[in-house]
Amino acid sequence: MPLDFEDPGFDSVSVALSWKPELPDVLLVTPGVGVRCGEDQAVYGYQFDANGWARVISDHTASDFGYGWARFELSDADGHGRRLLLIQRASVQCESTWMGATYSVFRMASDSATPPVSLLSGEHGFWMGNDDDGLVFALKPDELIIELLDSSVDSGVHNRTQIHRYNFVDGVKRIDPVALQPHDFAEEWLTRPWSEMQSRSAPNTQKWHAKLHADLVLGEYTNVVLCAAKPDRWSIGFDIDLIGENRLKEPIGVHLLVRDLGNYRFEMEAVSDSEFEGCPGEGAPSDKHPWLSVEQLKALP
Amino acid sequence: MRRAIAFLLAAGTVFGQDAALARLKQELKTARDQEISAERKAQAEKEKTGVWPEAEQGLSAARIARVHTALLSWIELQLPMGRSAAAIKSSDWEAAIHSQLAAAGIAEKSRRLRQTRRKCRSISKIPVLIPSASH
Repeated sequence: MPLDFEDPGFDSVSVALSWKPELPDVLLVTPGVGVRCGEDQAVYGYQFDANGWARVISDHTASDFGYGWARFELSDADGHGRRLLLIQRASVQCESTWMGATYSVFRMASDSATPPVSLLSGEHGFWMGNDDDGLVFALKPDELIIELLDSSVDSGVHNRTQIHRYNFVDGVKRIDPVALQPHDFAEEWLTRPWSEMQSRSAPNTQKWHAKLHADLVLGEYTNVVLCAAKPDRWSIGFDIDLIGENRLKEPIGVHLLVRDLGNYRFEMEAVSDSEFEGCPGEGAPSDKHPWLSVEQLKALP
Repeated sequence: MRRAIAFLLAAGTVFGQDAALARLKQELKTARDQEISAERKAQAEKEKTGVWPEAEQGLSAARIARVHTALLSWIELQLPMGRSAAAIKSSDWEAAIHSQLAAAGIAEKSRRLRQTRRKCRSISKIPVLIPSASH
């Protein structure tokens, strides 16, 4: 067993400074507290002027294991000279490659008199991949795009690609793409709230969503086929046996009809407890993991 | 008279910094003791019941938060007034902070920065084309 795992931590601290020329009046301070297997880090931003300093950013995620490896990224400037500041951290892990990530986005004004505005913060699990490449962030002047590998509804599928694209022009909106292939969209539809899925769903699927949705849904794929008689439609079957904390006595068998609209846009067209006509055959979810480079993410229309 | 006031202010600041550093050390020690004690208790419970007790959830987070609060107080007592952010970054402020922590015996040890990361099964990750309006 590695030495660090046996060490309960809480015997050391650290302090690191970051400064970026694009934000000349801001100093980012990263204090760290030694915990088991690593270091839990907070991030504080201080704005300096002739009168002294003021703490304008306080970013720390409470957890029992800690989040460290803090990284900062600054977007290009928008038309008003403002930039987005991304603060990201990864969970402290002793051995597992299943990790957690935290991210926070602040809008930084072009002048030092205007304090940063917190736009978004969140936590997400991810699998770090074979080459520590299971999570990437793409930051644009008005957007954050997160691409990651995370667990599937079907435990027999080791991981799937997720994409979360947030636009900050008018509030905070999750925009397309929300998935890169049809069965990943089906999983996204099951595990994300109706407020996110409504614009990507036929109205008559709402009652099914209310019945099937939870942050955690587990089951297994029963069929994934491109419908021969319905152009651009995929029939995706699941046996679902856990919805949230509700372990079902009998799995619910459902079939989701996903329409591929192109450009990584999808729509949930129908949900049924029986197979759709025009979608014969049997198939399994692809074991390929579509993956966009950071440059491709930034170039998304 | 002015010199006396300046001396008193400086002495007060140093005293405040020392007190904050002492509090930080104490918070670390308390957190470590509690963590060790909680782990022993949990281990005993697990051996008895075969299940890791859930009662401990959130307690480590509270311990971490308390140390962060003490650390933040100490840092902010040392942040210079009347200097620019760039000047502080390019100065020896960061090194001085580390020296103080090292002298107090609580500086980060480099071994912590080496995180064990186990590799596991491979996957097939494929590049895809950027969507275009004509897709």
